[in-house]
Amino acid sequence: MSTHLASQLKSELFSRYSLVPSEQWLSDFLSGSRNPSHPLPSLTSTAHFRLLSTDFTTALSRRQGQLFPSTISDVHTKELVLQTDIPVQVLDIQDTSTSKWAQIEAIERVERGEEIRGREVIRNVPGVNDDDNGNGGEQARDSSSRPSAASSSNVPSDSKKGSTGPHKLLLQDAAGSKAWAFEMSRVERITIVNSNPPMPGAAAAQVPAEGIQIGCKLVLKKGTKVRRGLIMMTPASTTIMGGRVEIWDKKWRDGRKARLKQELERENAN
Amino acid sequence: MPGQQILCVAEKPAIAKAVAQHLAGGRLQTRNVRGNQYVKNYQFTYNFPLWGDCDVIMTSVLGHLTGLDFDQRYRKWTSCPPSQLFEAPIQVTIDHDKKAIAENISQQARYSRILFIWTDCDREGEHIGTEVRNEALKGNPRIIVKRARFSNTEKNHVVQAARNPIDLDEHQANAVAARIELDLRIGAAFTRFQTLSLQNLSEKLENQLLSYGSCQFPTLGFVVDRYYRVRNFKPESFWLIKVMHKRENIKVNFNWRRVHLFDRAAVTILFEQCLDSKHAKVTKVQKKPTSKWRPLPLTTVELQMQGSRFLRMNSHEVMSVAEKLYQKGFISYPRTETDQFSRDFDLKALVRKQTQHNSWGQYAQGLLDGAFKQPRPGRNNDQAHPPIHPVIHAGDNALDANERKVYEFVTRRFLACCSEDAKGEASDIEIEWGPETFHAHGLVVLERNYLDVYVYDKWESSQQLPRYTLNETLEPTEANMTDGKTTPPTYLTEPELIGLMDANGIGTDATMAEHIQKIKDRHYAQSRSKAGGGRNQVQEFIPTVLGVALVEGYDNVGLDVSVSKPFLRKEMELKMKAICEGRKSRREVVDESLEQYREVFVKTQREIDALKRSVTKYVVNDGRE
Repeated sequence: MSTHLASQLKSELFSRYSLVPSEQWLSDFLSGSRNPSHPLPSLTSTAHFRLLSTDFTTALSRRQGQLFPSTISDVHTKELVLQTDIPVQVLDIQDTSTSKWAQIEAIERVERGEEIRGREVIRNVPGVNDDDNGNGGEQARDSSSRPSAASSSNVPSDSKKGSTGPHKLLLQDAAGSKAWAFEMSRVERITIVNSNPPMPGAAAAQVPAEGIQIGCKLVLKKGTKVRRGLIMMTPASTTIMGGRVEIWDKKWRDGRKARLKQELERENAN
Repeated sequence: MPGQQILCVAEKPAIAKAVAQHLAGGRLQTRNVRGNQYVKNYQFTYNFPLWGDCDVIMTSVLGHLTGLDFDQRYRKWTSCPPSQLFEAPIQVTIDHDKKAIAENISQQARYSRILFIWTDCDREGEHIGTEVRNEALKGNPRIIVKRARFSNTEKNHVVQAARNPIDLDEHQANAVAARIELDLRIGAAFTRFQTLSLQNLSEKLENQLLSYGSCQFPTLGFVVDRYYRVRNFKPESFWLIKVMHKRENIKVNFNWRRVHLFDRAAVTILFEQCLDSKHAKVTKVQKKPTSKWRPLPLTTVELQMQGSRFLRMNSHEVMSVAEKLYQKGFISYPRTETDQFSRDFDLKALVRKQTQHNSWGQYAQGLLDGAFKQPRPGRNNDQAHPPIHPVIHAGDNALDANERKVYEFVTRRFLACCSEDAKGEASDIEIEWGPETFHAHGLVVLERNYLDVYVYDKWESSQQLPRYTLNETLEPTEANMTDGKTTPPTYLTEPELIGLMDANGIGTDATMAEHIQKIKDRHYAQSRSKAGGGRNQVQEFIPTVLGVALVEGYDNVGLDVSVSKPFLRKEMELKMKAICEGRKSRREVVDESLEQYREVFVKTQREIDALKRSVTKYVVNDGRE
């Protein structure tokens, strides 16, 4: 195997994608490659593509400069700035703008088949509730804010298009360290989509690649700020590479409703 | 041919009388009808442009003349397995107490050259028109059949209708015939089946009819669904940032653009970032005119929804009062989907009729003196009737309490449509503080316009905002991070239920109130006053134990065909529409819909245990498995 090719590939992957694969992964990739004499750019793209569905804790190198600083999750550190680009994978995603109850309802609507075309059931009709019925919670007199945001008869903007956040993501670096990130300003691709259950008879794994899936890969750019242990994500500071790890994603999706319910129970038990 | 006889038939005695009086111009003879005390034959002469001088007999029926039922041998519940009812032979029947009226028609038809039908101009009316026609043909197979198109019983309108006859719309009549057959077959099959299967599970159900209707059930489905959402609700805490700035002695409250978040840590961190930034910068200062739109012309669904909100009457009551007002000639036909007035409609003439009223006469005069504005057009037109509007002035002593309320609503709404929008000025200030954005909003109402007559809408000025300059920096006077809790949805109120039925395409404007009444009559749901009242005492719906049992039972039979979901009925309604538009035949629709419901029926039979378990759980064991 040509070490020259290996080091060229490594350098390309780093300069184009900020990724440094582990030696093991690199050699597996090159020896498994059917035609190592492919031009470098296409080899690089292929390597990048493959890396998107790997587990970064095994596929990437653990060298310094590719990992979270040790104090990243420290709540006492008021602000810290990332000194290098850090590649990470998504382990969890949450919607901070919507109540868990509303999210559970949204999942149940999909389960009941009500999001299928022709079977939609509209459950909320605007403008018929008593005006003098002040809903507890927060209701600003100013009409430009969502009037009944605190009332849970409102449906999250979830449904087919996906949630608009802001979201919180659990990210993991190549060494396996985890840290939470918050979507400070809207990053387009970050969204949770409740897909319809497959129609009876349809091909099984037709999960549409929409929104963020578990195992999705992204790069936190150099200069990204971390405040009190929470990574602040903006469109400028984040590059979403995409991808997913299918078994993790399936497990996450299957267990999501139960997790939300459990958390809701716990919150109400206090 | 001079001296020929025309037979006119209206849908109700009151309409027959009104029309006869207008056309006869005073020379009217009234004859009794043998065998019926309500229906009369009015005799007069009239000159029709098309037919010349004619003798006219004007009479009426009492709603549907005929009914549909299974052949004698299928009428008893134990006569056959309910599934056979999907195909069992059916026949048109005439009710015993309608026989005299039917006789009257075929008798009079014998001496008449033309049959002029004056039933209400909607689908049901068209079908009744064909029923009348069929009776008339028995007496005179060569009678010519025409139809009058009218939306109210005001004199000029009636005369216009008399002079411009049209033909019966077979399509609409067929749509109704399809509906009648489907309701009969589906209703009977399911009702018999579920009653027989479930009755002996509990003595509470012993003699109870467990009726089924393809529109009732989805209606009940909405009630049950909302009930469970309320019961399963669990409150959650959220956090938000509030900013207040004092200027010119006014305390301006700024609201967070993110509204609130359900993550305390995130909000704390964001708040800290704001506090780090001592000053905030004003990024938007906008003053712009704003308006609150006058309402759209009135449709039946709106009348039911707003009527049950504001008039302390349920939708069924509102509709029956509206029907009475129509028959007495005070308002136009109350069953309409149209929310636009045609260009040549003489609205000012109608406004003029209101200038003498105690409460809104002055306002009406104001409209005529220059404030009049052409109403906003909505997007719907059923091509049959205009939006509901007042036809003539009704003095207070001509109406009883409920009639007065409904008449008032219809009139105020009409006058509001012909008014200017309410105008105001809205101020919007936006500030950026740290990474976060906040805004404040102020409203000054400058002209109330339509709000002065339409007392059902509210729009009020908020506190005046002080002056801000774009790009200036300021220091917030007070800033807090506070929390709140989410609140549960409320049980369904009647206006909401009507809104849901409309949004999900079940029930026509004419029948929604009936279906709601039906689920109450059958003890599937009850209405009660909302706790904590408020001015209007709106009723909210709670399902009964039986209602919950049935809906849950059917849901457990199979979700893809659940009869408590609206889509099956919605499809049926769309097919009815297709018949009216000539796109589908009656036979096609009946066959297709029967197929769909038969599949559901078969599945229900197979999974009857799911229904039984549900009824046992709720009705017998009070909710325990």
